[in-house]
Amino acid sequence: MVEIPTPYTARKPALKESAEDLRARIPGWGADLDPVDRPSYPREQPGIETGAHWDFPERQEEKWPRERSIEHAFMTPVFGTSTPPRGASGAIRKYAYKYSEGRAAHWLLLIAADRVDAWEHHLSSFATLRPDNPVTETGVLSEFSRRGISSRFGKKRADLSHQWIDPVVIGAPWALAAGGVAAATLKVLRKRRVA
Amino acid sequence: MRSMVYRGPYKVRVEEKDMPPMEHPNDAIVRVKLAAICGSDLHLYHGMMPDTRVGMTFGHEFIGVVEQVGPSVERLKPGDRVMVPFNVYCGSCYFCSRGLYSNCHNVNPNATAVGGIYGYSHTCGGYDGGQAEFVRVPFADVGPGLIPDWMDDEDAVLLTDALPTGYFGAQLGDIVEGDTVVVFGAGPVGLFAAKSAWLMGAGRVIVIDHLEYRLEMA
Amino acid sequence: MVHLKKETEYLGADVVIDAVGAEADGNFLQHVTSSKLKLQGGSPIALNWAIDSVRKGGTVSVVGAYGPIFSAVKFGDAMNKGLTLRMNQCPVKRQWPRLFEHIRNGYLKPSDIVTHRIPLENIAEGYHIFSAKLDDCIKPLIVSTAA
Repeated sequence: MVEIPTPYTARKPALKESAEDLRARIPGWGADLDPVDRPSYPREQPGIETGAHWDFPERQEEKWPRERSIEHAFMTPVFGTSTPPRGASGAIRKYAYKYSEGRAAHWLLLIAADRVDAWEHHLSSFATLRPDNPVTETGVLSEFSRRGISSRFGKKRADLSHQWIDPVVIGAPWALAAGGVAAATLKVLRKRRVA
Repeated sequence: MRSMVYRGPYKVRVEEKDMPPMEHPNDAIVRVKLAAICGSDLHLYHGMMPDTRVGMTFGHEFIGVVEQVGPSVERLKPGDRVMVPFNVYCGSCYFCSRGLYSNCHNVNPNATAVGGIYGYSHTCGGYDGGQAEFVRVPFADVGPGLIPDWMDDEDAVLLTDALPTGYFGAQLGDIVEGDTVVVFGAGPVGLFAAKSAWLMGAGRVIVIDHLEYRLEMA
Repeated sequence: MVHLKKETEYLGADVVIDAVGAEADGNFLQHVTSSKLKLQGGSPIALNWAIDSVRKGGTVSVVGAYGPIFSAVKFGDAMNKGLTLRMNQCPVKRQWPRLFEHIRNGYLKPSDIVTHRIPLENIAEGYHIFSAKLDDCIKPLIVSTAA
């Protein structure tokens, strides 16, 4: 071998471009070379000015029993109030919060509740004026309007091997549900014709 | 108000929602001008985050104009042009007072492992996010900052999450002059991390992604 | 991985930054169990590659977002190589003063990466394009109707 590669000797690898070349090529190269200039150095800076003019914030009013992790000593002073838990998914969520965050059951139950929640809403939306429309809501129309399909091919992409899974995973429950409804309707119609 | 709403994995739509209420004296309501979709929003979109509820609004990168402020807000007034960092934080807990704003302990009742983030499922506090016309911004004296007059709106919205995160990633790497830095992922954060690595004096920066068009931007 | 090693004269990188997060791709089994079946907190492919490509004693900086449950990370390799693993969600406001200076000096121009500007009403399409990475999408912005 002509030259022994770096790891086998004590020297550092030769730089392809020197500092002067880099400074010339890249505006601002090395502006933060000194760690003191970096805002998150040191990472913890006790006494940093945050704008808070309180020692402990006022407590937000709990308008309904808000679920909380058992790893908190009490309800936090401020919390989000989006989408309170409801229905079967709400019951699963309340149950999940009885488990500590350290247990897989806590999170897996929450993910299960998410799926139940999605289907509760899909089914109940058919009873309203705005049923869930999988075609518009998944944005697949953009495949046609925004060069969607053409940008999948002709370029080197590593995710082509599993791109087929997405439409199957997302479309399958809807296709099966639609198929189930169609089959049930046909059965009912046939029975009525015979009778 | 019109607002984006999650309807299940891979499904979102725009619905009419009530205006976000003021829940706390230090809240502000911000009228959103520009918002962005983050790569991490896609994890919510794909149903990967536990406790993502149907009806929630996503969006943690947004800028806008203050519409209304609560009684204890001192630093902002209606009409101010503000940029809102994606962290919801109180400024006074153990972590915030040491500068760890993304690990605030006072804003997320659902999990202690993560702080509060706008529009990022109930695991991050259950706050509705900025992909809507109006947002509730807690701790208006602490989080939001005024957009400097010389700054573009588009630069400002990228400063709420993508650029600082890339810059922070480069700082965490403790880059010393001449270091070889490899960045996995040529999305917005990765691209900014690569640029920040140059600012910190890297000798070589290599960016890796599985999609060629992103590398062309790098 | 081997290519990276050759690039760095077989040493490995000094610092590796993981900006990929939970939906890393590149290994079929890992991708299916984590991204599709949601059995892991996030696909560890990028993290494992990061651990592999950094040199012994180097630093891996993680800013990609992951979910709360476990992921199959090659921790034994990280330990054996003596790595420093540093990570957090970014505390944004602390970065602003220095970043404002950099932008004023022209060193950084963030809005260069914006590729799509989509009105709020069409947000479903925005998500689809960004999710499936179509139309050369890098960063979509949503223009609010209230502006």
